[in-house]
Amino acid sequence: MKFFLIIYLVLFLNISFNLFSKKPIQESLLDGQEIYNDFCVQCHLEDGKGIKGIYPPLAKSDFLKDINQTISSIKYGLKGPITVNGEKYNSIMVSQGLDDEEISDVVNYILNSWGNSTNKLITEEIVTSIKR
Amino acid sequence: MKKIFFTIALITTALGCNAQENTPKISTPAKTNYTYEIIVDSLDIPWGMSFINENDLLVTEKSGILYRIKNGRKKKVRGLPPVYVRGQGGLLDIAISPNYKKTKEIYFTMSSEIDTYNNISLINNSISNENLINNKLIQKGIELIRKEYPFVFNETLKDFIETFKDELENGFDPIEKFQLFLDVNYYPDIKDESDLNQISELSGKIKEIEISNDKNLYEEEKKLKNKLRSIQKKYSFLPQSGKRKAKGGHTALYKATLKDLELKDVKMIYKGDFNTKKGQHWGSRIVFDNNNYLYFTIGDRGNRDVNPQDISRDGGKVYRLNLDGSIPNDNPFTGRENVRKAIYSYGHRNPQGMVFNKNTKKIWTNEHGPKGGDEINIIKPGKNYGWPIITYGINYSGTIITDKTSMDGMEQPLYYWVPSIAPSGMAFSTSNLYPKWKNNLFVGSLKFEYLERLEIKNEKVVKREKILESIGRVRNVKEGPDGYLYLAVEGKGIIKIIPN
Ligand code: HEC
Repeated sequence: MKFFLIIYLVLFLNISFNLFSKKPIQESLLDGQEIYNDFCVQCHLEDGKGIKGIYPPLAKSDFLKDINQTISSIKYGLKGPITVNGEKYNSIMVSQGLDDEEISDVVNYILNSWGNSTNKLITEEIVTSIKR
Repeated sequence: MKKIFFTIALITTALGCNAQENTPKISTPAKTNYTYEIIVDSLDIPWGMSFINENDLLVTEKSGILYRIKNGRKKKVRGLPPVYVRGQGGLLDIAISPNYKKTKEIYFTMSSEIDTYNNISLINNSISNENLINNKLIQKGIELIRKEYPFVFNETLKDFIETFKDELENGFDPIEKFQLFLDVNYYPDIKDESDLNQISELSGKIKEIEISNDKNLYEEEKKLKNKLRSIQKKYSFLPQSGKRKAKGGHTALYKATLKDLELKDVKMIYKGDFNTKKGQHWGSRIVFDNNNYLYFTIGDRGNRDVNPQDISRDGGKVYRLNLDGSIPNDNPFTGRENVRKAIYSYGHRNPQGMVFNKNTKKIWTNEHGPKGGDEINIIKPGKNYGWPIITYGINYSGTIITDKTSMDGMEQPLYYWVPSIAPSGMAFSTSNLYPKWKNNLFVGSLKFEYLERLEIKNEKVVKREKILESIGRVRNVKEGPDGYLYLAVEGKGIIKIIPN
């Protein structure tokens, strides 16, 4: 309990530091690929093309142009009618329960795979700042 | 050029052969003599369902909601332990006890973050809300905490209340305080005494400067803070702007008493170890045989090369327990050292369908295989169902897992699906309401969005048919106490099949 009180004191003083340093993009892409293969591949598939009419594509998807909405749909889930590359979808994707760092990694990965590319780096802080 | 083309053509035909539909091929009936009715609507992923009677139904939403539906009216049940929603995991199956009428007991499975490996005493520890404390503010705080955090055993909460009683009574944010409590008590990485002492010394000095409000000391304060930070950096567990990092989980089985719309005396009676951050293959279904044994399943948790074939670890197994959660004396591995004695059979990938066959008195399961390897199995004690040493499937990427489909000492499936249908839920029709379907097996297809009807003769599938084509992802199928077949369909709800 002594130990606990010390830590409590430290925090009570409100000395909070940002302990994260920015994650390099290469590392983020690798982690993102692992997340993709664990959590996304069964629907959006290895080639990111999805299944027409059921699972929308991520490869060359025009939906990804709105990065905030992309992050939000992975963070909180996505439900209802959307149009991706002219094709209509009206289904549901539930949140996969990833933490903010994992979401930033997988978003970096999908924004830079299968012919997609961007020069924007998505950080954990950006994901944290996206509200529903 | 021609030759190359020819070779390619040959290879594709060979591969094509491999992927040919397993017999009997599925048929679509030309004429149907049934309709359907949606009896409960607006459900996202209705994972488990259990009938108390034909007008009273429990349904789980994967996202962590338990509904009780009486005469079509859906109400939330309170008192669920917090659910670890991750990947395919969340709140999973639910089943009322065979003695429900007398005991009002129910069982459910869910993904859980609780680290039972390092704290085995948590098993069987009550997590119900009762009689912890009678201060209103604290009670409210505890309610909030139970919503947000999975570590809500009474022991933990009592400890927490003891430490933070004053703060809670004075209206401090209970979540924030609980976060702090967890981070310090449950992930105590600081082992170095001298670091501890330094932290306390530095914090003291900084506090003095802050209180003194002396501008001349700002530089000094900055220096001290930097020094403190360099020590803190070593301990990443310190709360970081209120966020928690995923720490992994495994499938847990709970027992509770249902009192109207509230769960009482909630107890975890089994929990898989070791927790992992993988999102796949949690199982899980719960059924009972007619000797009051409880069976439930856990999938391989995304670690196929380690879990399914190792009976000292959880995952990739069918388990058998007594109704009170204890392990039956005659379980197949009870006599052995260093095994999980609750295991009944192993070598499974991800069983998400299970039913007790009342005619043969045997447990049947279906499981998600890899591409082209979904299976139906009849579960026998102590047997090895082969995953991943033998399988009819291949990796989703098309690469080979094993060239073996059978081996001595490993069970063959009663049936395997090529292509995979992604089976979930399983039921026999035993009533006389659908005369032509009597004793047929029904399996939900998530992938092809229909209910599959299988006719079985002498433990061989002789006919397969699509029921309710394009209905949506069929997550579960049950025969109700009234003899009707009920489906749980993702994005739709609960559907009753009505014969004409
Ligand atoms: C169970 C299947 C499933 C899984 C797993 C899944 N998705 Fe989806 N995803 C969908 C469906 C269905 C939609 C369309 C939802 C709608 O119609 O509103 C979608 C939509 C999307 C969209 C927006 C549309 C587009 O194609 O650009 C993005 C981005 C996306 N998913 C990314 C992901 C990522 C990243 C993961 C893994 C973390 C993931 N999804 C996991 C099924 C899934």
